[in-house]
Formats: sequence, structure tokens, C-alpha cells
Amino acid sequence: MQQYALVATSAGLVVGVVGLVLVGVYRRDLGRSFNGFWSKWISVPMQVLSLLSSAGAAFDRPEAKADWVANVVVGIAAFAVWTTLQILVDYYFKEGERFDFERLEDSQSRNDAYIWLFGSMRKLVDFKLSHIRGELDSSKGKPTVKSIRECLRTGDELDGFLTAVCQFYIGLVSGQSPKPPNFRAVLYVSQGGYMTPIRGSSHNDNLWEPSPSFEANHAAFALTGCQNPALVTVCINRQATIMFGDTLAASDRGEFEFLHADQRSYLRSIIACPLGKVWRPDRKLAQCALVVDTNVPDFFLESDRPFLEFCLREFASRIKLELMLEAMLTSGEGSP
Amino acid sequence: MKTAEDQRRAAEARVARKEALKKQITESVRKDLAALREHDARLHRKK
Repeated sequence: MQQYALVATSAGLVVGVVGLVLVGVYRRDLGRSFNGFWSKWISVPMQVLSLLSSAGAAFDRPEAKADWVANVVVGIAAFAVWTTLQILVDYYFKEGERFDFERLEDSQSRNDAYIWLFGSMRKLVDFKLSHIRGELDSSKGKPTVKSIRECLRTGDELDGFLTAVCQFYIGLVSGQSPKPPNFRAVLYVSQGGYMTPIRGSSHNDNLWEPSPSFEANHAAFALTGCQNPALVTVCINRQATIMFGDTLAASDRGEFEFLHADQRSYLRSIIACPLGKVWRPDRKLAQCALVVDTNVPDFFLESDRPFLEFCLREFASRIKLELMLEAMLTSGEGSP
Repeated sequence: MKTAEDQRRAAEARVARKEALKKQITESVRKDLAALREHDARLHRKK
């Protein structure tokens, strides 16, 4: 009888050890492929049987210690293995629940980000529509060539786009920060071998212009390259979106260089995106790029690259449309 | 030829337009977010 009990308990021990190995290997999939309820229904009886087997063998023939000691040892080992198995299964189930909760929060904030994107885009279309409506109202529904040109003419729209880009990113900043968050968006076009800023917007300073910084660091914007090139020229030369989540850390690693020391205090994260070629008013094709920087560290993260590129592409197509319209109207100046 | 006064007025108008756009975007998105969250909560309650 003792021998049958020993074989059964040993089998239980082996199954328990195999269970431990399987839990270790498939711990991430526990919640999906295995129900926690059944694990309790299996492990609790196994724990009870292990104890009963070892206690039963000892009580059966207490005088023959040499015969039952193996049963007791195997029984206790099986009990320990099945108890550990149960604890691990419970732990990984809870881990799985925590993981899902984080994913839910992540997907909620991503969802909010898309709503910010669509909302910003819709308001920009409304902005243009109100411009066209104003022109149509003033011509009493009979637009002249001049009023059509005025409708198509860009100006406020490009400012509006860059303002919307900044407002969109402000909407994505979550949590409290010691400084009020700020974003600056600058649109560059290649001109005479330099990436030249043509429009810029800073969320917290409506009068900000990018040109003084460009003039003070002119050499850094040369497309032929220099020792410390601006990120916009690097993104054009590599034809790739380049970002630094934390510029201070990247600078310490020697991967990013500030154009001047003051930038360390307000430029904490940056992204530069090539927008392709556009026509300039002087009837020449030019490279175009959008650069957004912020004082919020860890904002433009590599891990978010697909999402960040997706958002910039949305803005890019509309910005390019405005640039083309501007080029078309300016190059056709003088024609009816 | 634009006078300094014209330039000042143009800059003021530009600032006002920027501020209006920022406000419009924020208000519109906040309204959308609230409406969509309420809709999600209603769906959740139905389930």
C-alpha cells in the first residue's frame, strides 16, 4: 500500500515540477490560455493528497520508519511544489491584470491624442472656410478673380497650421511640470544652400520669430554640412525623421549638440521631419522640413516614432498644400 | 508703404487670431473628448 502511495505521490511531484517549468515558460500567456479557477481546482486537491499520502504512510506503520520516511519526504516535497505552483499562478495572473490596466491607460491616452489631432485639423479647415466665406460675403456670392486669389492666398493659414501643431502637442502633455510646457514649430525651406526658416510659432510667445536664431547661427543651417549642424539640415541630408527624447542626455553622450549654451535650459526634446520637395515662389523646387521642439523632457521618444511620424505626416500634407498655393499665386503674380 | 502703426496693428491682429485659434482648438477638442467619454461610459453601463 505504502509503495502505491509512494508511486502516486512521486507522480504528483513530477507533474508539479513540470507545471512549475510550464508556468515559468508561459507566464506571460497565463491569463489568456489558462483559467486561474482551474489551477485552484487542481493544485488544492494535489496539496491535500500529498499531505494525506505522507501522513497516512507514517500512521499506517509507525514502527517501520525506514518504510515510510520516503513517503513523507516525497509527500512534503510534492506539497511544497504544488503550493509554490499555486502561488506563482496567482502572482502571474495578478501581473497580467496589471499589464492589461497599463495597456488600457496607454490606449486611452493614444485615443485622446488622435482626437486632438482630428480636432486641430478640423479647426484649421474651419479657419480656411471662414476666410473663403468672408471673401464670398464681401463679393456678395459673385467672386472676382481677385477675390478667388485672396481666398487661395495663404498667410494666416500657415501661421494657423504651426499654431495648431503647437496646440496639438500641448494637448498631449500630461501631468504637472515645474515649468509651463511650451512647444515651438518652425517650417524650413532650402534656399541658397541653407535651410531657411519661413514661418515659426511658439505656443507661449505669440510674437516669437525663428529668424534671429537662424541669423545668429547661420553656418549650422548649411546643407553642405559643418561641424555642428542644426537638426533640420541633418534630417534633410539623411531624408529621415530625427528625434531626441532628452537632448541633455543625448548631448552628454555626444549624440546631440546645442547651437548655443542657452538652449540647454529650454530645448529638452526635439523632432525634425523632412516634408519632401515644394515649389518656392521663385519657381524653384526646394526641400522642406518641419522642426518641433519643447521644454518638456522625454517628449519625442523613439519608442513613439510611428505615432509621431503619423501625426507629422497629417500636418505635413496640409502645410505642403498651402506652400504650393502660395508658390502658385506668387509666381503667377501679374497674370489675371 | 506700411507705417509703424500699420505694422503694430497687423502684429496685434496676428496675435489675436493665434489666440483665438488656440482657444477654439482646445474648446472643441475638450468638448469632443467629454462627449466621447460619456458615450463610452454609457456603452459600458449597457454591457
